[in-house]
Amino acid sequence: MSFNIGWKDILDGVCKWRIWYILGSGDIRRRYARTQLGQFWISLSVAISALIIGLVWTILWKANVSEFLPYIVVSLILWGFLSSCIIEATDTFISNKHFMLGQKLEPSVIISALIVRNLIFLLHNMVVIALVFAIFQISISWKILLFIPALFIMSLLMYFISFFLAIICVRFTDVKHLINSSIQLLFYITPVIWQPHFLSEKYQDYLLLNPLYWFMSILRDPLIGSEINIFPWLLTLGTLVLAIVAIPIFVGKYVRRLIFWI
Amino acid sequence: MAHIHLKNISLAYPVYSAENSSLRATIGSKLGGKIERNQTGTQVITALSNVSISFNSGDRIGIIGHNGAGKSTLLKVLAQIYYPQQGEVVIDGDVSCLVDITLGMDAEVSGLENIRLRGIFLGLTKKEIDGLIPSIVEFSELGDFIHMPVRTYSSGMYMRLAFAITTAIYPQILVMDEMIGAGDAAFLDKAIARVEDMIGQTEIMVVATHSNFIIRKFCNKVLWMEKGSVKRFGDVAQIIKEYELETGETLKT
Repeated sequence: MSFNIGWKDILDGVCKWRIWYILGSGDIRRRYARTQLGQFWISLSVAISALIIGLVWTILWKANVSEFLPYIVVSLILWGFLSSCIIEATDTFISNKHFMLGQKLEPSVIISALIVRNLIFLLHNMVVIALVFAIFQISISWKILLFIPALFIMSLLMYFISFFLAIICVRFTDVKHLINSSIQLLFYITPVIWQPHFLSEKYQDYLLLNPLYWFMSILRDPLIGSEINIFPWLLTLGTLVLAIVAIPIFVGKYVRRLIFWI
Repeated sequence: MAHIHLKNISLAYPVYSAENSSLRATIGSKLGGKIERNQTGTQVITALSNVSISFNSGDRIGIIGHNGAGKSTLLKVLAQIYYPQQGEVVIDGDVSCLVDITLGMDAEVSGLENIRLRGIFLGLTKKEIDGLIPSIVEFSELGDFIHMPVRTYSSGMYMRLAFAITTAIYPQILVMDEMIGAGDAAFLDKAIARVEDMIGQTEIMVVATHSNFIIRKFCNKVLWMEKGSVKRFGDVAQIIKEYELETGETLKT
């Protein structure tokens, strides 16, 4: 029963792609309406912070700039995608309240819009990656093609995770604050601005306990051309299967009630 | 043929934050729903209790009642925004809920672009919208302003555009909280004619209103809500008379 209601909401929501597309692209549209560079201002700030972190780290650890800086740029951009999907999920229903109360709109439409917006941001930021790769003359291998399935898998997974978190957060505001502070913590314990091999071998296995490491790994490894590690892929795919089965049931149980919580 | 059938529906708003017991003092007051606790101890405000009604094609229903009688909640049930906790809801036909006629519009982009945005929210495809654009632009009387960002419009112009788009399509079931309208006196007559035209094309129209004029002009049935239940449902003249007699109030003209 819940499973059917959940899938109905998701599928009906998918059919309203015109609505979630305009909702998701709204921010970008407004930015371009007022500024010449539009969204690229955001990319610029990502580039600057990556540059600074990259330089400081290079000096501190005497790392190789041409290897480390591209790594940082890619990492920060991908982390930005994952963490924004999670953080924005915590208040997406509240901030889109007037749409949900103004006409019949499946909650899944709001979640799709969130994913679309972050994907658009990510694609804009990819320009920075391309620039950095060009500057440092990074050689591109066939592995880069793996980024496409990786991004597809992650977008789908983030959709389900965001949906789940969004429902919980709209009912229990405390969880929202918990997530916002945890993300900061996770940023440090996930290899984003440091590389897995910085850890001594003894600790490297523990990295696999952190789902965000799997997600970062499958997205990042193809881009920076490092060796493809099969475990993060398997674990991410396993999570996706679990999400596809379990989250629609959860959604179905609460989706018709959540309008009363916002 | 569109039809609406509600059977024994009850709807209560859960209140999770307010543990304020002084709120309970309002129980029994004339305004608002009943404040109670459900089985799990959550405070709830009962907005609709045991409502059963059927609307059929050709019905133009005006909903009257005090503030908090459940009018807007009922409209949101009809629009399928709210699912009642109990009872059965059958709604056959596509519903357009015009609680906010500007829903989806964006002040930063041009009027033309806003026709597209609003059109999408009304469920139209790009092609359908393109077909409607000339008539919408003409009706809105915005002229060259249609190419300007909407933030440069006066609020009257903004509402006129929203109104022109929203009334350009004819849903099977039309749900409105207060009659939609726009503009200054000169525009008003034009607007009323357009709404009349729109309502004429829909199968079922439901409007919550405090206005006698609206009911007499547009409705052929009246639903009188009181404390979340249906008090009376039927003929316009009859029920307005009873309403005014019992409440000692006169509906606004």
